[in-house]
Amino acid sequence: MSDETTTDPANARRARRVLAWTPSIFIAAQLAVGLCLDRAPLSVRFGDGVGKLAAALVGTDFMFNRLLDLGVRPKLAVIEVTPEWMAHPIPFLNGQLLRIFVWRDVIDWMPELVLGTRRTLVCARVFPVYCYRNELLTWMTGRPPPYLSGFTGGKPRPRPKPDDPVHGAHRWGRTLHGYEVSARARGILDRVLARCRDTGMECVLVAPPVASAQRAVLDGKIDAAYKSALAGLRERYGVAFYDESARLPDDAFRDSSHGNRHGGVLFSAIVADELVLPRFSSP
Amino acid sequence: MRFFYLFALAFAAYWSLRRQTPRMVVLLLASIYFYARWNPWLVGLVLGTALFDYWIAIRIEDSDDPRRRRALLVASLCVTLGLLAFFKYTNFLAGVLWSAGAALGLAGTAPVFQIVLPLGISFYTFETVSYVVDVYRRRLPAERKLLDYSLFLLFFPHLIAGPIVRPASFLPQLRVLQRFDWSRMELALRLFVLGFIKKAVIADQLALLVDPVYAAPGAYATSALWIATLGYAIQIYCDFSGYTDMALGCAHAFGLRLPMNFDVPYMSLNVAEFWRRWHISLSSWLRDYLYIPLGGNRGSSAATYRNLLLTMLLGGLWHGAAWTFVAWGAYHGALLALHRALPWPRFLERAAFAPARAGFTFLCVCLGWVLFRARSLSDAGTVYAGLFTPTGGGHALAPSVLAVFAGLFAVVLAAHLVARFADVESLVRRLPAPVAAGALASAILLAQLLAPDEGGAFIYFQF
Repeated sequence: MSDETTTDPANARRARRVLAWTPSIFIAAQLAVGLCLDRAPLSVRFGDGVGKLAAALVGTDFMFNRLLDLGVRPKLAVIEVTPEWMAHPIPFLNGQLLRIFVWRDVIDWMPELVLGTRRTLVCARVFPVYCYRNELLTWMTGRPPPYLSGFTGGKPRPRPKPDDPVHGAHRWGRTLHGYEVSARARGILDRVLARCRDTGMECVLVAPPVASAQRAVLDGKIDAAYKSALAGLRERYGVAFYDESARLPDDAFRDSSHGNRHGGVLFSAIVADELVLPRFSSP
Repeated sequence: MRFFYLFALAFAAYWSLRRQTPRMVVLLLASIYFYARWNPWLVGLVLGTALFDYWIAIRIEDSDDPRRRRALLVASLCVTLGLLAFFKYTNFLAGVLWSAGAALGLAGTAPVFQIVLPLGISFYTFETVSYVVDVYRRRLPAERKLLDYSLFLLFFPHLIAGPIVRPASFLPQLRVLQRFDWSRMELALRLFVLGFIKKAVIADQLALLVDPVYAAPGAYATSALWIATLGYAIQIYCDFSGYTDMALGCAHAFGLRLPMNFDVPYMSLNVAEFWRRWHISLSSWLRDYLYIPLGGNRGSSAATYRNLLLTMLLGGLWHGAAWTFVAWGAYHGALLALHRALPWPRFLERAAFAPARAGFTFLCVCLGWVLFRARSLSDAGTVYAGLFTPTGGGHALAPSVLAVFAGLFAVVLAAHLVARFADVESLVRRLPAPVAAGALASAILLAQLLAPDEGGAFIYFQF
C-alpha cells in the first residue's frame, strides 16, 4: 500500500467521514455480536462444553440467582466454603462465569463489578468479538482453533507439570496473614442461605479437602475465626457443615488447595455417598 | 495495550500543542518512556549514543582539518560499532575463539556472559552511523538541535525494529510544524490495521504451524518440512512488514513519514530485485555504506563478487550473532554473485516467463529462510535433507491444516498480485466513505476474531 497522501480538500472531507464512520461501525458490530451472544444457547458461549462453571462465593451467589430465575428448584444445595474465600471473596467475573453474564446483570451486579476484574468485563461486554473469538470460531467452523496446528500421528505434547501438594501453601500463608473473615463474604453467604430457606431448599456447607501443607497454614487462629463465623450462620439458618478438609491424602492434590484427577474421583465419591445419597434414599 | 495508551496520550498531547519544540518534547518523552518500560537503564545507552554522535558530528562539521575529521569519524564508529559488538557479539566471539582454541588442542569451555541485548540496537546503530558518515562526507549538515537528533534515533514507532531511517529524510521533517491532516490520519489507520492483520491473522497463526516443525525437524515428513518452510516465508514477511506498516501508520499519525521497507518482495523476478524490495531500508543502507565504499561494481568482476559476498555476510551477521545468520548472508551473497555472473538467456526476459522467474526466485529465497529460521546449522542440514530426500515417515500435516494453509497462501499471493499490478491507493480513495469505513471496521473485527490466544513478539525485535 502506498503511503502517499493528498491535500485535496474533498479527499480530506472524505477521510474525515471514514474516520468518523469506522469506530461507529466497529462499536455497533461489537454490540450487535454481544447482544446475539447474550441470547445464544450456552453451548455457543462455552464453545467446547458447558461443564466449566467453576465459581467461588460470589459466583455461587450469581449462579444461584440465575438458577432460581430459570425456575430451577434443586432439592439440595451444596455450598463450598473455604477459609480462603471467607477472607478474600474472589472478585466477580473471574473465569467462566463471565459467559452467562448479560447486559442486565451489569446493573444488578454493579457493586461487585467495581471490585472485580473490570478489564475482563469491558472485554466481554464491549469487545465480545475478541473476548469470545474462540467460541465464535468454534460455532462457525464446528471445531475449535487453532486451524494451522495439527499433524498426523499427533504433535509431541509437553509433559504435564508433576503434582506438588506443597505448591501454593507458602503464598497462602502470606495472603492470610492477619486473618479476618470479610464482611462482604459473610454478607454473600447470608444472602444465599436466606434464599435457600425462603425457597424451601435444603442447604449444606462443605469445607473441601486440602493438602496437609495447606492445612498447616489454616490451622489455629485462622481455623477458629473461620469456624466461628460459620457457627453464627449455621445457628441462624440451621444448616449442616461438613469439614472435609482432611479427607484426602496428599497424593490426591496437584497443589496445596486443588485436587488432581484422582482426588476429584475420591471427593466426588465422598460427596455422593455421605452428603447426597442419604438425603435422597427412601427411609 | 500499554502501547495504545501511550500512543493515545502522545497523540492527544502532540496535536493539542501549537508549537514545534513542545511537540518534539512530547514525542521524545513518549519514546523514552516506551523504551524505559522495557529497561529503564538501557534507555541511558541509547541517549548516550545519541549525545555522543550529536557532539562528534558537530565537531566533524566545524573542523577543516581532514586528519582531525577522519579521527573523529573513526572514534565515532569505534564507539558506536564497539557497543553493538559488545552487546550483540561478545558471546558469539567468545564461542568462536574457544572453538579455535579447541581446534588447536587447547582445553576449556567458552564462557557465557550474561549480557542483555538492548532492544533495537542494530537499528539505531546503523542510523547513527549513517548520520555521522553523511556529515563527514559533507552530504548533510550536522544537526544543531539535540532534541531533534535524539528524536531521530529514539522516535518510538521505528526504534525497535526499523525501518532504518536516514537522517536526510527524517531530520528536515522535525523542523516543520505539521498540520493536522485528515487524509493522513485515514492513511495512518489503514496502514496500522493492515499491519495488525498481517501480524495477528497471518504471521501469528503461521507460527503455530512453523514452530513445532523447526523445533524438531527430524521428526517431520518431507511434506511437512516444505509446508513449514513456505509457511515461514509468509510468516516472516507478514510479521516484519506488518510491524513496518504499523510503524509507518503511527508515524503518519504524528504527521511524520518513515521510509517504505517492503515492496511486494515475493513478486521479484530475480534475487537482486528481491533485495530491492525486501527490507529496503537495510539493503539500501548496506549498499550505500558498505557495498559502494568497498568498491561496489567499479572494479573487476572478482572484486564485485567479493564485495557482494562480504556485504551480504555482514548483512547476515547484522541479524544475529549465530552461524546460521552468517550462512544465510553467505547464501544470498552467493545468489547475488551467481545472478550477476551467469549469462541468463534473453528469452527469459519475456513476460510469459515472469511467473516462472518469480516462482524460482521465491523458491531460492525460501531455501535461504531455512538457514534463517533453523536453531543451528545442524538443524538446517536436517531440514535440507528432509526437503530433498522424500520420506514418508515422520509427522505430516493433517489434511484440514493443509487446506487452511493453501487458503492462506492463496490470499497472500492474491494480495501480492493486487499490490503489484493495481493502484490500490486510488481504488481505496474511490470507495464511498461508508464503504471504506465498513471495510476498515470489518478488517479490525476480523483481526480480533482470528488473533491467536498468545501472539508472539515480532521476529525482528530480537535483532
